[in-house]
Amino acid sequence: MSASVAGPETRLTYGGAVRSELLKLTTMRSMWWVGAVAVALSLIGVGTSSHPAPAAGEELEWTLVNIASAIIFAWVVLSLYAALQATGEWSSGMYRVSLAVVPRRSLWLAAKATALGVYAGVVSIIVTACSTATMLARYSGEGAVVDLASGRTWQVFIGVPAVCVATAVMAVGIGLLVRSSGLAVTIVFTLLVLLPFAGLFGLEWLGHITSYLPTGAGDSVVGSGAFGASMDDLGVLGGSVVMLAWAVGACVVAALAMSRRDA
Amino acid sequence: MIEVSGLTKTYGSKRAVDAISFMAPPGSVTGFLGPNGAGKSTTMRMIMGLDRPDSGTATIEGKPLAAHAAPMCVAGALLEAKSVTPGRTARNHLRVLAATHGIGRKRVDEVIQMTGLDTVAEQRVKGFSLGMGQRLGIATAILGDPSTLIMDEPVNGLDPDGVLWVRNLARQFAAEGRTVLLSSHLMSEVQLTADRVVVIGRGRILADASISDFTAQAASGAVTVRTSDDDVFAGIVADAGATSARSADALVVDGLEPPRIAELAVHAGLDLHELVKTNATLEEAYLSLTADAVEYHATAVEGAVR
Repeated sequence: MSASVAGPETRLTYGGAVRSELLKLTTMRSMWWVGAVAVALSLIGVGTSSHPAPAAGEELEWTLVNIASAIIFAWVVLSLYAALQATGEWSSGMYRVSLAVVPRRSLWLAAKATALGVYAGVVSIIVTACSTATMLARYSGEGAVVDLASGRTWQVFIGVPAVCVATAVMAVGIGLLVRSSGLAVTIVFTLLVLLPFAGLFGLEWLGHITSYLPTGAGDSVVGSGAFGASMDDLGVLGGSVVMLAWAVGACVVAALAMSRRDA
Repeated sequence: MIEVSGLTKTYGSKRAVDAISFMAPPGSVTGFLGPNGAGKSTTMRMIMGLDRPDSGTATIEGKPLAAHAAPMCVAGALLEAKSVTPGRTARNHLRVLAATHGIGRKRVDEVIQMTGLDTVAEQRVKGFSLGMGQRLGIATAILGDPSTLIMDEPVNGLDPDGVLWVRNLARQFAAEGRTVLLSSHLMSEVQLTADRVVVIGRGRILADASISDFTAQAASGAVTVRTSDDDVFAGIVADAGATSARSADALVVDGLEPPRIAELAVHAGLDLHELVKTNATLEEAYLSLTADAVEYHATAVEGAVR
């Protein structure tokens, strides 16, 4: 055995698989472009919109809602990117090599979901930070303010990236389940963008269901209407449980499918 | 060591692999031969855990690949060239895979050098020729310095220098006591590289033997003889109950073994200039064995040069 390979530390680990998946992202230009586009779209959204001045005493809530709302473009872009990263393994044929070196498929799935979750988390934190800075710089005259001592502030600052992470993980699960880029993009786009509009067309029963979609659940987590209006507020805990169920559920179904079928 | 036992795989109504069993022992190169669609690639994919068998087992070093702590160090495979993300450079492709097992950059540099990819290591894979893609596939397979090497058509698209390199790599791996299983349609290459062959046809094992045993089975038994007077010797051979035919400046004798032919020549006072038992080539042995197992027949080209 080559001296540069031999050693007890040379073994397949979850950490190693995650590092590998993170390297897959950082060694592709698309990661930087997607990150830049996500940040730019969000800043354009928050920086160019006309935000009617808040009523007296509602400056903090007004500021936080606008900060949270800036994530919507980045959220959709990051989720679609996560789905495409998963299906890209099949369109390029890379899955043969990936699964030959990481033959434990659930470990591979977990590593990929972790890496794309980390990526979505980092980008959404950057988006939130930039949106906050933009709001404070551009709309200070209207009363924009952030109170770091307020729990509501941290609900937005933590909630927005958490929802983005969960949705990206869900998109990875969907991608690995269907293995087709077109189908995965269609499903994710329908879940995040098309279905939430159902409530607007008078389909009240469907409107209630949309509260349990990632949009409605995400909205409950952040408490701002950032991810789209929903009929029922599930609360932070309820929204978190539903978001977690989407993320974990998609990955568990994908893991079960992968364990039974050919790669 | 690779052990395949009762492996079966069906796609729809087609049984691609039908309860096959064979072994690829360590310290030797096993050639895996068969016509197109015979089930070679499917079997290799099942050994690597990519396809799920309907029944049977395929183990490497006694366990399924996924059960090993360091799968990359147990088995490396080249199953299809250019199974890579086209926008990534060759070096980064290898770094990505090395990271799974905590293998450092030093080994990545080592295999880049071994496979002759130094000058293109920083180029994106989408611009690679078939040969370069094949070299990257082999670099991927040997990255973990595995004890078992599985290669499906490894010399496809390689220049003569690359073919020789693959042959030497396989021989060196075997000499180090490792297991090598390779498939190829180039019989001459397999004859030069492999110690033994497993032949598969229509999903079933047709032969599992050493190269010498396999070719001996297919040999016609004819012996080429040249004496000081072939016309006289033809009569002697006929009297001994065998048949002979003139071929160029020699006799081809059928029905007698070389020691008996030598005895007859000496007894008749003839000088013996040549006495060679005709052996079948691997290609001849393979073609005679798989004649009925070829699934996709081509028709003869009209006006083809014969």
